[in-house]
This record gives sequence, C-alpha cells and structure tokens, in this order.
Amino acid sequence: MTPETARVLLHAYIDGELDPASTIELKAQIENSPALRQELAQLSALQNALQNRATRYSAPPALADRVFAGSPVTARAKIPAGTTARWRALAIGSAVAAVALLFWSPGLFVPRDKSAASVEEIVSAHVRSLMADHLTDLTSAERHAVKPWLSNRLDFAPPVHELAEEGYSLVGARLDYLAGKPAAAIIYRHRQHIINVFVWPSLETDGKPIRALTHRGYNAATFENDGMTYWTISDLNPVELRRFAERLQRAVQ
Amino acid sequence: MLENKRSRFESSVSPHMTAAYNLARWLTRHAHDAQDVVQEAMLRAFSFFDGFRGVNSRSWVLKIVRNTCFTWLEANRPSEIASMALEELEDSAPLLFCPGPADDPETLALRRATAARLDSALSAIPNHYREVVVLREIEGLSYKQIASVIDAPIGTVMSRLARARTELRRILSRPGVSEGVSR
Repeated sequence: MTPETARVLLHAYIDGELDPASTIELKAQIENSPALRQELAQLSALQNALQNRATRYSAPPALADRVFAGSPVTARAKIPAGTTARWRALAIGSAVAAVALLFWSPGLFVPRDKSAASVEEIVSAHVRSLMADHLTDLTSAERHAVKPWLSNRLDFAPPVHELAEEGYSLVGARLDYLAGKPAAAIIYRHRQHIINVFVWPSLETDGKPIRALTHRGYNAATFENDGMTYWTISDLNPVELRRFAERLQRAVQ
Repeated sequence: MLENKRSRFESSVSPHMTAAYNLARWLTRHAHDAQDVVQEAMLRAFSFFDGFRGVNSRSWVLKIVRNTCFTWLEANRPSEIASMALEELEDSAPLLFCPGPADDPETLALRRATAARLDSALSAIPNHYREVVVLREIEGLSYKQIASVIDAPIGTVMSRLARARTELRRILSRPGVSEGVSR
C-alpha cells in the first residue's frame, strides 16, 4: 500500500466502508506514519464536527401538507393556499375519486395503520433479545457510531441519543422485525435492567402521547413523534420506565 | 385504485420528507426554493411510483429530489452548474496535503468549528461535492446508497468525498472569517 493509497483509504476507513483486510493493512501504516496519524486526526475532527453540528434542515410541516394534499388522509381538508395549480388539479382529481370510493365502500376510505405492532410482539422481541446472546448487532455507547450503523441498514434514520447523564447508558443497536417490517432496536442499560427501544416509521406525523402498558410482567411505553413509532420495554418498574420514555420523548422532539 | 396508490405512496415517502427537504435545502441554499423543488420532486415521484420496486425508498426519494434540484438549478442558476463542469476536470489532480505537528492548529480549529462556520463552509463548496457530504455526514448514507442517489460509481463517491473534505478543511483552517466571537 503506497502512502498515497493509504491517504485515500483513510476516508473509507473513517466512513466504516473499508474491508477488513485493507483495514488491518491501513492500521499498520498509520502506526508507522505520523503524517497519516495527523491526517486521520483532522479527518475525524471534521467528520465529528459535521455530524454533530452541521445543520440538518427540518421540512416545514406545511410542506408535507402541500405534498400530500391529495392523499386519502387529508383529501377532505381544505387545500392550502400556495399549492401549485398542477398539484391542485391532482388533489381535486383524487378528492373526486375519494368521494366515489366513499359511496362504494366507506371502509376503504379509512387508512389502516399497518405500522401498528401489538404489545405481545414487543414483549416477544424483548425476550428474544435477552435470550441466545443476541442483544446487540453493534455494541457501542456512542450515538455517532450507532446512528449511521442503523441508517445504513434501514430505509429510515432513527434518532439515537446518549442519555448516560440521566443514568441510561447506551449499549448498542440491533436490527429487528416488527409489525411485518424492519425495525431499529436501540438498547440502553439502567442499573441492571436492559431497556429495548424499538423504532420504525409510522403513518401518523402528528405524534401521539405516551401510553403505558404491562404484559407478562414486562412494562412497556409507546409514543409517536415526527413520523416515528417508539416502543420502550424493560423489566424496570412502571414508574421508572415511564420516566425513561418521557426522557426519550423529550430527546427526540 | 388511485386512492390505494396514494396511500402506499404517502406511507413510503412521508418518513423521508426531512431527508428530502434537507438535501434540497443544501443544494438550492434557499428555504423557499427547496420547498418548491421538493414539491416538484414529489409530483415526479408519484408519477414514477408504479415503477418503483426497490427496497430502499429513502435512496429512491433522494435520487428524484437530487435530479429535480439539478434540473431546477440548470433552469434558474446555470452558473452554479457551469462551474461544476470545470471542477470535474481536476479530479485526477493530487489532493492537497501538508502535514504539520500532532494536535496542530488545524485539528484544533476543526474540533472547535461552530455550527455557523461549518454551515457556511459547506455552502461554499461546489454542488457536486456538497451533496456527497450532506448525504454521507448529515443523512448517514452508505457509499453504495450515495452512488445510487447520484448515479455514479462508488469510486466517484469516494474521490468526491475526499476532495470535498480537503476543501472543507482548507476553508475551516482559515483564521476566523465568520467567527465574529473572537474579534
């Protein structure tokens, strides 16, 4: 490996995209080269700064309303001012179709939330994760490692937060399958208790308040925020689990 | 049924609205233009939706948003595209590299860079470099996903990222142009 190649591969290395064989070779080079070490320090500092502090612009809520103005969920709502003529035509067309549907079969008009999971499913996933030594696919206490790991493997990017200051240490992440879809599992530890946080996209973008449930001796709490469904589950007592869910909800808002 | 298609479209696309807007916002560098571009892109996405058979709806949505952005820029700000074609020619040139001492001022400057400085540096680099940084560092996409969004080989993704980072480091190591605090 030439020094020039090594410098180019540093990028793949900090992005977690370098194959294991090249990683070993590159690490050996870094070991022996102060210049490469410095390059690595600068690249990591830049990456860290961008991932933590560069702005991720949030879509204005009105934009989603405009874009989905013709969807079944909002077809009956007034089309907001400022919608382009072309889109308005589409929205009106679909409103007509929606009315036709309403007469034909009202049941179809109500969108079914296919993203719903039952508490049984959540408890089973939690228990499964504690058995067979398969709690985490990635073990890391750093959200900057956990977040990209998850978003690289899913078609959504679940928010990940470090809550160690409040006594919930981040353990890692795992891929799971819930409500018939891939879900992110983010694992925290509070004293001796393992908390699984399951996250997947929901149809609701409005958000839903925390709902607490108990099933088979496990306590669970669920809420929705910004188009994501969250389930927290643990053998923690209900009060403590709810406190965790509230903390998490504040973090993701 | 149209309604069925609409509801499938909405549930596939709505989780990616922020990613879509963020990319458009970074490429157009303007809040209202970004909204117009996203809306236009969603119209296109809806018309292509029947043909969408992929598993990764995020990459699919981002690809359409990205293409819509460049079409929009060509029509409204052709100068930004023209300067890009010239930048591409330099792709084979060696990367800037000048090692200094360990824990050098450049590393420290990067560690301390404020959000405002990072944003302004990212706004200053050419579009084709900016988009790979936004997709990689802000949206957390893999090289393979970025390659599919920008419709280029993985090698191009790597070389653009390397150049973009070199350029960002060069801008950020300049003594506090936008760092009003220290003055």
